[in-house]
Amino acid sequence: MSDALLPLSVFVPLLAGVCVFLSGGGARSPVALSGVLLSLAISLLLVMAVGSQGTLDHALAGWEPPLGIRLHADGLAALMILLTAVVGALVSLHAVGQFAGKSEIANRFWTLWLLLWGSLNALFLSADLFNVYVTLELVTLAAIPLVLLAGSRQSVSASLNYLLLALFGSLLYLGGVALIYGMTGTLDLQLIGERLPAGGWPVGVATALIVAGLLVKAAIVPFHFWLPPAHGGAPAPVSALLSALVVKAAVYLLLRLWAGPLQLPLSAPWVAQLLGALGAAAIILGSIQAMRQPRLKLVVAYSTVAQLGYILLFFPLAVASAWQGAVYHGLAHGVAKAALFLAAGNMLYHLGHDRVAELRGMGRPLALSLGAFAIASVSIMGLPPSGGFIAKWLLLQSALEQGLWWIVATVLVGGLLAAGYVFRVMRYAFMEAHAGPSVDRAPTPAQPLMVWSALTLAVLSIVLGFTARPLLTLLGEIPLGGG
Amino acid sequence: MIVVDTLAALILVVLAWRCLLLTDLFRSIVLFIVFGLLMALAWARLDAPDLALAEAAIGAGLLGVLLLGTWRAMGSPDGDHRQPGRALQVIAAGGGMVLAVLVGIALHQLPVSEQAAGALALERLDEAATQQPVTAVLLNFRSYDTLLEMGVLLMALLGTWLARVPLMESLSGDDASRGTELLPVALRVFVPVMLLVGAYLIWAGTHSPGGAFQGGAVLAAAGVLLALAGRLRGDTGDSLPLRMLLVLGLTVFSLAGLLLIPLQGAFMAYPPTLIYPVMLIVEYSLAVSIAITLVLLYTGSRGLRRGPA
Repeated sequence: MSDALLPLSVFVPLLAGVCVFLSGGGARSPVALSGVLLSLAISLLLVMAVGSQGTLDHALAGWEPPLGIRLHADGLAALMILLTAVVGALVSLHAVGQFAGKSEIANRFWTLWLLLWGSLNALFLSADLFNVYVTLELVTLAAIPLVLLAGSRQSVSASLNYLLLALFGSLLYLGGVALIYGMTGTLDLQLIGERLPAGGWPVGVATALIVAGLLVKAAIVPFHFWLPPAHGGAPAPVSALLSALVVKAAVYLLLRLWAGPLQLPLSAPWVAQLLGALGAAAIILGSIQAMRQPRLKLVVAYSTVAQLGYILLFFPLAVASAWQGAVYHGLAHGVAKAALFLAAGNMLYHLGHDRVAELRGMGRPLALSLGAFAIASVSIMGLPPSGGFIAKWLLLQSALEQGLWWIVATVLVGGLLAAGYVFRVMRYAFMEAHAGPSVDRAPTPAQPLMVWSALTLAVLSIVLGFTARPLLTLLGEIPLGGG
Repeated sequence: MIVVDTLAALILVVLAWRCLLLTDLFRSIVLFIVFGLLMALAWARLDAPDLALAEAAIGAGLLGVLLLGTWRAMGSPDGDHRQPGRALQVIAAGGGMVLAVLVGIALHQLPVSEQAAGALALERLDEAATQQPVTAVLLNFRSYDTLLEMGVLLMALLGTWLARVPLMESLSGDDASRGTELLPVALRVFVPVMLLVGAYLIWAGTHSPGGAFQGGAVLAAAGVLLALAGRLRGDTGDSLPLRMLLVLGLTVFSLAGLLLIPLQGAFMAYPPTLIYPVMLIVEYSLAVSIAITLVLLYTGSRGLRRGPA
């Protein structure tokens, strides 16, 4: 019966969100907190079940594919569910502090976040091309109202841009799905892999549509421009969830489709090179933009644009160690980026602004949050010992083995540029100022929960430097041809 | 018939073209509604009555009402309606055309599969306890998709509530309506009929075209008519009963799936004797949630209350 864990890990968070919506509780709502705990528990149970029993399948409504929809939990899905659970639980703790005293906003946050959690789990578990579309819509439509929680006019226009681009991405994806259904008569990922013609114009167009749709949703250069205003303008816990998990979902799908039905068309040399080149462009452009941002949260948001590029470097490499590196980068970036956004949010909460050039003298009142920022930055820069180091090391190693020097150069330059934008922030923050940092209003110290959740995530991003073996064992081999 | 079909296809393209290029926002909304109605006819011609119903009720009807409501709330929209720059227009038009050609060639060359899941579904309708293929797919074979879509609807409503707060300052419109002499008569005649048709469509979904989405949309249209006449007013607070109705479909559907796992061993698998009653209960709960959500999207409010009769 352990395969019942698959639908449960979707519907426990989803129904918890419904309960919060009904109960109307605020930041410390016991309904919301028990919902978070239950969702965490069911996710961990599922991860442990995959760890001990290998991949799990569940045919929904009792109909085997091609008639019904199949849920599929393998190592890759389990790792993403684990990431969502760990980051989600810690961000939830931060949200208790962040939204304290704002019961209505807090209620909307809990409702939407728990619905998002269920939607993300649904996306990671889906083994059906059309169902993936539905889950993508769910994830997007949970993410956009979360951006609106900031409650400002700017957030409305940022989320409207996000919505329009996301819908454009969905339409492209859906077009590809229709073509593939026409060719194979099925939507099940595994059956598609078996039936899809080896080549030809229709397969190429379908693949291009699906990949383009996912690139828009993943904010990969040149489709990145919607991300910084949306992620930079949202409340800190929301920014953390969006950058750590939501954009990751679209990139995850690229990996999932490569390892499944679209392996042949996505492995064509020029396609793989193109995806890799987009990744490299994202790393360079995103990092340069991050260096030039006047506001701290925008620095962190552009850093997300850059860091997502590393995962795309997998496609031209396409060997086991690069697979491990790309997935591990997803985990390491998720944890570190959540820490960065929460820490930056604490500074904004304290000072009332996050203008980088006016952060001087912050070392004293915000020592712990600044510490969290610094520790998480180690992983973002890819320095040892950290999760980011392991991921980049695996990518570098496979690039060196295959003599792909442009990838080696990109990874190294990307690390240096990351150091550039991180140290720019540090330089200002650690400068002494006799009067203390400049503030826009009377300083409001961040609550302990907000500080410690950021610090815990930062420490976790270092711990990931030592846990590569069990996590990569859970990930397992590249699931060739399967779904 | 080929002449009629060609003509309809041509008019659709021209309507879409005009709708995009008009600078007058009001006229493009009206054209959009006409486009939706014609699209519904096209679906009917393609032997897809379910899609035709949905397109007419939601695509042309409710979406049109929502657009017109937004247009009214914007006050003087004509000044605000900026055309995008020339370069952007060229890129969008060029990109659209390239995409159309690429997909066109792909469709022309498409090696159509012999073993489609759709054909298999038609063969096994009996096991799904309904003779209506669309319902069988939506509520049985791929019920999981339908269930998740209910989540989309809930989150869209939450999103409009949240977006309304910062936008309120610039919105002039309220839901107070200007009635005409005809409205009370129209209400007395149409609202009961619409409720009846809506309820029938939901039930009909089990064996003929119809179902929760179409029926719910007709019920919502009755609500919109009441709101237009001022009989139903938006309210600032949301009450618990209303919230319960909003999530009724999602809750009933997922609980039915979860609680019956021990019987059949799979999520959303129902024992053969229970399929029909479960389906009917699910259809009606979905329709209620859909109808209330759509009415609230129109009033833009968190709650509803009775207006002066």
